[in-house]
This record gives sequence, structure tokens and C-alpha cells, in this order.
Amino acid sequence: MSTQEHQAAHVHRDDEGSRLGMWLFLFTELILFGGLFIAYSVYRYMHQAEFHLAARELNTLIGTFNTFILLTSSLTMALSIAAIQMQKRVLSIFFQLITLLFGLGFLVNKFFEWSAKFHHGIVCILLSAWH
Amino acid sequence: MNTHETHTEKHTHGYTIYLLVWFALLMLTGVTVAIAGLDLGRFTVATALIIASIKTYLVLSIFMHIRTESLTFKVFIGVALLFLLISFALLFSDYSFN
Repeated sequence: MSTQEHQAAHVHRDDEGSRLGMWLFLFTELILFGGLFIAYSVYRYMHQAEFHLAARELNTLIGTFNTFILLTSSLTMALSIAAIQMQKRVLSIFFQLITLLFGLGFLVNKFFEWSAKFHHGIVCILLSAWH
Repeated sequence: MNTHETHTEKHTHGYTIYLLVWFALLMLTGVTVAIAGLDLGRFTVATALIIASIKTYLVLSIFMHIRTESLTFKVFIGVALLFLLISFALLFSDYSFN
């Protein structure tokens, strides 16, 4: 009994360590997407006219809606954390469900956006090999 | 006393600050879309990057709570961004001088 109490008093809980772990994961994402952005920047720098021409093929409306989904789902997730900090469990879960719905909406949007890319024949070599 | 004050301040501002930041982010996105059609010459890319930087700062500090985190987190993010910047600088110097 006394050992149980002793253990209960020393439950390991390190919130700062958990958050730091999450950030470490995000840094790996930063390196991954950073690499893609570097490749994009170099190609854009080397082929400016081609990039300018290709940009006209992009759908601004779908792109803007995509950004709207991302920003609003960020909001609902931040609101969910704010709710749980005020001990409002149900509200927090509600905001998380909304975030999930925005995540699904993002995928639907991507389906339409990438379908247009396939129709334009702008696909990477690996994928076009399947056709 | 001071810590108690900041604690209550964090609670009362609760949801409002997130809604304000969200609105600011939407406005900045609107500006990006609006000027995307304009040709600002060599400032076109620079303007887009400056707006994107402001948005990144807002998301990191408010949505991702870096503003209220300890110095450790700020240093970590600073170092990560520095390494990304070094990668950019090295690769671009390689392509620019060839």
C-alpha cells in the first residue's frame, strides 16, 4: 500500500518534454518540406519564363479555398486547446471534430485540384508511367 | 503576483485572440491573392515572401503558443530555421555562381 502511494506521488509527467517532442517532429517536417521548397526555388530561378507560363494554368479559386481550409482548421485546433485549458472537455472535442471535418474537406479539395492537373497532363514521371 | 496576472490575462483573452489572428491571416491571404495578378517587377516575389513571413510569425507565436513558451522552444525553432536558411544559401550560391 505504501509503495503504491509512493509510486503515485512520482507519476512521471513532463508536459514541456512532450511539447518539445512534438516540435522535434515538426522540425523533421520542416526539413522535408524545406528540401522541396529549395528545389522549387532553384528551378523557378533557373526557368523563370516557364514558371510564369505554368502559373497561368493554376486555379486561383481552388488554391485560395485550400488556404482558407488550412487557416480555419488551424483556428479550430487552437480553439480546442484553449477550451481544454479552461477545462471545457466537450467544447474541446467539438472543435477537434470540426478540425477533422476541415481535414476531410482539404482532401476533397485536393481531389478536384489534382484531377485538373491530371487533365493538363502535368504529372510526375513516376505516376505517368502507370498510364 | 505577476505570474497570477498573466495567468488570468491568458484566460480572459481566451478565444478572442485566436479569432483575431485567424481574421488577420485571412486578410493577408486576400492581399497575397490580390497582388498575385499584378506585376511588381523584382518586388513580386519579395512582397509574397514578406507577407508569408508575417503569417508564419502569427501562426507560430499565437496558434502554436510559442509566445508563451520558455526560451528553450524559441532557441530550438531559431536553430532549425537557421539550418534551413544555411541550406538555402549554400544551394543558391552554388547555382548562382555557375
